[in-house]
Amino acid sequence: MENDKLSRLLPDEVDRREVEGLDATWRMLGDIETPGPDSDRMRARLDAVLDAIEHAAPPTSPRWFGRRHIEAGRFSPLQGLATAAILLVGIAIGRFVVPNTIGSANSSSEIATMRSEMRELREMVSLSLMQQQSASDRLKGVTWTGQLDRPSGEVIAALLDALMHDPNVNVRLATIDALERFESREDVRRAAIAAVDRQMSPLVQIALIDFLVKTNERQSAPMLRRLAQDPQVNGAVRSRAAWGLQQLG
Amino acid sequence: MIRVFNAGVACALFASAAVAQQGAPTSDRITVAFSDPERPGTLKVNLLDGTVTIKGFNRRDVLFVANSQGAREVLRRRQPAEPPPGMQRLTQPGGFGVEERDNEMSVSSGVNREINLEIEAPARTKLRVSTVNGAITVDSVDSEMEINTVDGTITLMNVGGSVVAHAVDGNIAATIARVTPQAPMAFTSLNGDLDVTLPAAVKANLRLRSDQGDVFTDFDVQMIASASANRTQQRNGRGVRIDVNRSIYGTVNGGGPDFELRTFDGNIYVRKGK
Repeated sequence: MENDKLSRLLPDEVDRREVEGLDATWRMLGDIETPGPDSDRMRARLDAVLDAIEHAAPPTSPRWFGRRHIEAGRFSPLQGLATAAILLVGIAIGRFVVPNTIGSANSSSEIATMRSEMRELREMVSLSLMQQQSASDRLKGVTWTGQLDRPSGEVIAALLDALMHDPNVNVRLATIDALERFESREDVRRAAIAAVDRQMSPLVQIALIDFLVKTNERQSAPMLRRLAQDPQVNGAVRSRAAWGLQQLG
Repeated sequence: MIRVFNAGVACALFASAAVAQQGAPTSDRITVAFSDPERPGTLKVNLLDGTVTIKGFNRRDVLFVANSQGAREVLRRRQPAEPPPGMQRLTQPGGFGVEERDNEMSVSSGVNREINLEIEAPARTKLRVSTVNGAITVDSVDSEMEINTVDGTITLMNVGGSVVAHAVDGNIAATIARVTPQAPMAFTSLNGDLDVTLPAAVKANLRLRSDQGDVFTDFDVQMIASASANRTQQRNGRGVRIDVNRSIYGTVNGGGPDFELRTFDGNIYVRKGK
């Protein structure tokens, strides 16, 4: 029936077989499976962003300033004038009472702002380097997180993501070193336990076992016991797991 | 734009015909151009069985020479069978495909086919090479390189740029003549030795660690106390911290980007280049 409709719509000089061929091609193209998004990574990043928003400082705009009235369109001009007057009086008092400290207070707050902007910038650079195609760039990104003052949850999430998913062994190894400074975090230690099983590289598995022993993570004991007894596991990893168990007592 | 070159198809007929006539091994040759030769391209090679040799030249395109018979001899796991009377051995074509897309060239081989690849590439080509069972050799390439192998060895001669290399069971030998400033490098192996020669004036932070082997160098390494080194302390309610960080962490020529050399069961040699 669809073909009948099609032929009615077509001018006479158009070759019907050609149209059918094109139609079949379109159908085949439609059948090609759309690759799904890399959901684990996306989820981790989304969670990190949501986390950052939840933990961010509450908005600084003063609610008592009549914002609700402004929003509701019931802002009175008198209120505005009164506010402006109070502001001017405040500025005048400030100028006359503490004339010398204004400059330094301003500059110190500017410096604080600049510092926080620099910190954000550094963090952004590290995060973006960790997304690059080149392993050398990703290594640089991972190493740079070590120089961040107070890295956000997003940085930790990116490091954990790299530990789980980065295709390069050397980047994953560097990530374990970078995660050492967050060893007190429960989520980092839990991720390290989960990562041991998922790793294909014995060198990374050994580094993770060392990390867990170093942090004295007793919850890793069942996993270490299983590794130490699994004949499928690389011999060096097995003996490291047995050693780890001994250390954790 | 994607351009696909299937040397397995293009050259197999030629190769089989030639062998049938001459009874001698032959090789597949193919030249592929980058879509933008003005910019350094990327060459990705993934082989299961077979050796890869990449040489940097002053050229704009990439020449691939595949010798499957040679690879069969190098990697043969069984004795070659004697030809029955009146019969001759035919070379089985290796078969490999090259795909070029946005200045990135990808090379892959057919499953269960050993293949010896010799590649001549522009000297600034970025490399991402991996094999499961086969040696990787890179000579005179100046770029970013990422090299991985499971059972093979990695040999880098007269290379420049930055190197990130990992061999599970093989040795890594690298002579790095020029380094990219501020680019970190890493050479790691589970069971292999790491023998890395760096320029005498290189500025770097070296992180060296061999769990069961030794570490040697002729550089003047200034040790840094790493943040977590040699600390044993009581922590709130979670007992004694056990320190297992046995890395040597030090600077050469005032320090620079991190160069990590780590092996579990091999030795580490960091040599000063001439």
